[in-house]
Amino acid sequence: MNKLSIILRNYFILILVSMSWCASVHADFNREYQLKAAYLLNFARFIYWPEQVIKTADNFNICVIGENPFNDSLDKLSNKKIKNKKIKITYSKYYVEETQCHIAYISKTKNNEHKDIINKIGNDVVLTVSDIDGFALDGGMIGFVRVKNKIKFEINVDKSVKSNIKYRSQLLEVAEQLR
Amino acid sequence: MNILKNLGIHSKLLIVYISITGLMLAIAFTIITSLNLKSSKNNIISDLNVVADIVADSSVASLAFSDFESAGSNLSLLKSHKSVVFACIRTAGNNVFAEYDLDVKNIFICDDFDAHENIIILNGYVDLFKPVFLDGEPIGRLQIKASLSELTERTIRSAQISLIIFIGLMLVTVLISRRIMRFITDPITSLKDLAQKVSRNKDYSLRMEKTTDDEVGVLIGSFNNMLDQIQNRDSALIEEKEKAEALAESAKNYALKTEKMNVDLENEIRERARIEDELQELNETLEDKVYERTSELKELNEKIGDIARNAGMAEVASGVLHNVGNVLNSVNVSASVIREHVRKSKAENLNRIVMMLEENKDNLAGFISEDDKGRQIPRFLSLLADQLNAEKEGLYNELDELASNIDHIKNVISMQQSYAGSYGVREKVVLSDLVEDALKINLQGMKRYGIKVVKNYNDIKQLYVDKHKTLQVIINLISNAKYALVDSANTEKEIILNISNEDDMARLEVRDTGIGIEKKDVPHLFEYGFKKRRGGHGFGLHHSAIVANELGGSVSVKSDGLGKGASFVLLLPYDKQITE
Repeated sequence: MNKLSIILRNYFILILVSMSWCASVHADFNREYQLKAAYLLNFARFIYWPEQVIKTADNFNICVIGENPFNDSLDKLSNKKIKNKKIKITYSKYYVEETQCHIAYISKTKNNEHKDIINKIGNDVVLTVSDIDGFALDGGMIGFVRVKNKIKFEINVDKSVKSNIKYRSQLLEVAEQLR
Repeated sequence: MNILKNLGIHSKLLIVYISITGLMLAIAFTIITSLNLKSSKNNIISDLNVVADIVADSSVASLAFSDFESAGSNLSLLKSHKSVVFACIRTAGNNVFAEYDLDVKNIFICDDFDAHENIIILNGYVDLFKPVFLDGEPIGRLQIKASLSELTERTIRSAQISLIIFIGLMLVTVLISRRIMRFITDPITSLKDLAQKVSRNKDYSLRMEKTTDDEVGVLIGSFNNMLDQIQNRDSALIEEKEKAEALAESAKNYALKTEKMNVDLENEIRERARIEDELQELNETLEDKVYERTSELKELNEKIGDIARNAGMAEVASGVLHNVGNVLNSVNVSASVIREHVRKSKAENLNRIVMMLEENKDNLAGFISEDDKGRQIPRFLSLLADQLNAEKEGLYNELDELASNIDHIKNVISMQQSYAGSYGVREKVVLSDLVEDALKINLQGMKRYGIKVVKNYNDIKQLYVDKHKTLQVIINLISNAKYALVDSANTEKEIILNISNEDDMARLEVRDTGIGIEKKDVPHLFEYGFKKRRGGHGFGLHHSAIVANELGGSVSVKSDGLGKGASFVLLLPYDKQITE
């Protein structure tokens, strides 16, 4: 076997490894947001929503503010129901109060604006969720964190209470940290 | 089974009691144990269900947020349940989400999801499957595997306790049964012992006391009765045995005697043979002798017949002579009376008158009128005339009597003559005429002894018989009756003569009220030579019986005893010819 062929073979292997790595990274990314999409839905399930809030809404609205990292993962959830309300996913670049979001997911792309959005929401009964680092500390309610390569979340209970959002104990039990 | 068959009734009953009680207790314990087991199992499952509910509930969030640690720590709560050996949670996608293993030996695996099975009990473990729901949506499934070893241990422990209780109860049963069974078996055992004793000692006098009226009591009663019978039979057998022995002894003696007799017999046979030879010789001359003797007997018989006939004749003749004698007696008396009359006649007084008159024939008138004696003569003569007339009358009477007696003699003799020579000739006769003739022959004596004759003659047919023979019999019967009355002290002296029919025969009954006949004499009355009357010759009735027999009839007698009279009945057949 000549050198060329060895080089070609290594190159080929390199290409293959690179391709597989890229694919793996991409797959991990997708997997993470699939999971997070599912978590969003589950958060909704572990919260005692005020009756008034649910009653007045036509749908259970999940708003994605900023760039959509979920691809169609959230859309796939639209056939589910929360409190007997159909889930409706809205994507927007900015927080729009009229949207009547029940859950507002603030994308990482809004890293610098998230506090404004939180402030804007104020004490409305809107569960704010984001995977921005320190989100719960910044006044958000649930912030995704990565612990030992696992997706966990922190809960800002005080803020939630102020916004009249009460969590089921099981949720608090599985939370990585409570603020 | 054979072993059981030969066991005593006590053991049999005990076995039966123990078997039944044991069976019942075993069934009861089995039922209780199985119910207990089932209940325990249900309790375990119920407990597991509660635990599973709690764990499932607390695992919802863990599943919802893929929190393995939380799920694991939830499962590890099961440590407090010692029976739980393994638990796991699978996701809705059937991936193993969390596991808990008590021994960490990895011998158990998390089973695949199967919605149909909630509980599986297998190989000493129970697997409980519990779905985990979030908002009504299944998000996973919890499996809890619990060991049933505790249950098994508990069951074994329970079984051991049950066994101890069972054994204890059985012992109590045996003790109580033995005590109770004594009531039943003791009398039977005693009866058995008694039977053995009786059988062994052959002592049939033993008895058992009857204490109850149940079946055993009846059995004892029957056994005692049986012993009574056996005892009686035994005594009878002993008696029979003794008799048999005595018989055997006597048979032995008899055999010895027989043997001796046989010897004697043989000798005798030999002797007989010898005699037979001699006899044979004699036999040859015997026929001649027999012939000779037969001829002699025949002759003798004829002679006897003649004697009997002559006797009959003699009886008649005797009767006739007797009557004639009697009549002659009367004649004699009459003659004596006449002679006495004549001797004592007052006619001699007349001679004295004549002599007085002769003496005074010269002065007859003066003598009659003046003399005292002469004056009485007319009166004397008158009285004498009366006396002589009376004498004449008496003499006439005596002479009449004399003439009558002489006539009677004439009649009797002429009657005797009329019967004489008619012997053996049959002729028509009227029975009452014969009776009357017989009466006439006997009449004289009867009058003298004041014998009254009562006659009851029924009108019967004429007989066709030997008149003479029949008269002989009738005379004999009437004569006997007469003598019976003469000898009797009875004042009422009667001869009753009844003539009637009896069974197509003429019946003459000659009944008297005389001395009667002793009962012991009645059967011998017709025997030859039997005489009761003084002066009798003992063959009158014997001959009468023979004659009656010859005439085809019979004579019978009946008497109620001494002093009560007798009744002789002569039955004579009507001759066939006349009847026809």
